[in-house]
Amino acid sequence: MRTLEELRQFYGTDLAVDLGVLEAERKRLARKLVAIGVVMLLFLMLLAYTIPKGKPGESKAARRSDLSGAPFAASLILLPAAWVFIWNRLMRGYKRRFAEKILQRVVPFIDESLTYSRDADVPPELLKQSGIFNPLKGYYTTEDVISGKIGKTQVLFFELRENFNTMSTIRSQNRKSLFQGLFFIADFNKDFSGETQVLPGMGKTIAQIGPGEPRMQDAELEDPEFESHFGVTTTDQVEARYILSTSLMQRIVDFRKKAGKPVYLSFAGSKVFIAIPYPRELFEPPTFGTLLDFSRIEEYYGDVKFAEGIVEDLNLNTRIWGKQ
Amino acid sequence: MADPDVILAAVAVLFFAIIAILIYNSLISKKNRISNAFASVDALLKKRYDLIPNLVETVKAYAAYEKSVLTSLTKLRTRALSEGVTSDEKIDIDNQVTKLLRSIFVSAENYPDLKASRNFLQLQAALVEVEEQISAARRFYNTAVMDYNNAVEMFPTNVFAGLMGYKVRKLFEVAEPEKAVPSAAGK
Repeated sequence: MRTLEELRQFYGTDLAVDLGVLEAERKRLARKLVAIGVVMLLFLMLLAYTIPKGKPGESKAARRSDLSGAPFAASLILLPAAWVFIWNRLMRGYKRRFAEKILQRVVPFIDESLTYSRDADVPPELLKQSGIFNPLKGYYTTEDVISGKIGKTQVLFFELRENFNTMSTIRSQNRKSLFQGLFFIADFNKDFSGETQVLPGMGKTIAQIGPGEPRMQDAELEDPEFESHFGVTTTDQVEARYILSTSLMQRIVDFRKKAGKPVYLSFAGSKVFIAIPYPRELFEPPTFGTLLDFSRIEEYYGDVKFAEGIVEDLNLNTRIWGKQ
Repeated sequence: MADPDVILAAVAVLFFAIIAILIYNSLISKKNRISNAFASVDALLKKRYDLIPNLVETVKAYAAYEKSVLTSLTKLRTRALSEGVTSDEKIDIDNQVTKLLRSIFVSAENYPDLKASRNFLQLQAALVEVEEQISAARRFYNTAVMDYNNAVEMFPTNVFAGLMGYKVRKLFEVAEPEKAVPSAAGK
């Protein structure tokens, strides 16, 4: 992986021209958006001015039934929504060009084993396999897809955003709103066939419906610090302990502390799936801030390095248990 | 109209009967969980024992003078797979086999041809994998035993455990790794 200093040099030499062109485009779009916003605000003020104040002696009920304030009220909701809609439409091309000209070069420069694509397809079956995300069609978006091999480990990570409630296990940081953050998938260093989930907080026992053993059962593990952060459910008690060795449990706890956010893990199909909610969008160019600030690129470098670091943090490149 | 004292007594008896049934069932469940957990351990031990003949043949071809270790390993395997071996004996045999396997892999350092042998490397990887799986099964077994032992020793479940003849069970303890035996060939 390249250092930040090498990236800074690359930024100053190879990216300067394209960044300059994109910055000019950004300024033009920002001015347009501000102008549209000002026009809408003036229109709202005009509407507000035209609302009749009510006649002296007029009752409250009569004033309430007067619908002349309705256009203003409707505009108060519709105009901001329209502005956001216009913003998204205007920025679409700019974001795509930013991804093509900058991110597609920055990511392989940071690590030549990785490739970037703004909107490559992530198969819904892969998301479903995780068991912690329910890929209802049209309910979510995947963006900024990075894939490759880090050492011996095949990885795929991307930004995942719920647009509507998919009833998935993973949640945002405040646990109420929709999930937005990093979704990381890697080839695990052991073969297994069942499913084990490591979720923040207490593990939940799945209510049994009908006779027989419940599909997922709580697993009590030996590490008290791990148990204080996570609850584990599994389809196979022995396999859960095969995957979650004492050293891996400690590594997961350390990773959780490093991330500083709730971390959701799932082990299924000999892969590990990790979801980490982020309060901000990943790999997005600014609209109203300058693109020429290196700290922006530094942020992208940090995001890639963090995702790559997961492989080392969880020791996924150690392949001594039969699987190579 | 029924005597209120009789109703109260009946309700109390029913209440304690339900508690007794719950405790009884809980103890049975914990005992069965131990059996289930040991069955997993047993299955994985058999998987390991199945690898031993191949390992013995491979090592024999390269390391003629490790014969005594290989013979002991073969005898232990035969004993482990024979009928009528108790759980405690299986645990004891497993510990001895683990020690012998470790000494073989340490001694293999003295035989470069053996270390380079593809068959040996594959067997080693397979054995490491199955050791890890056995370790996981042991941990599950020990969790089940601890849960059971807590019930056998703590009040009020210990009263029922005593009546049912349940006793504390032994945990599956792992053999400590021994220091590498100096090679007779010297380095």
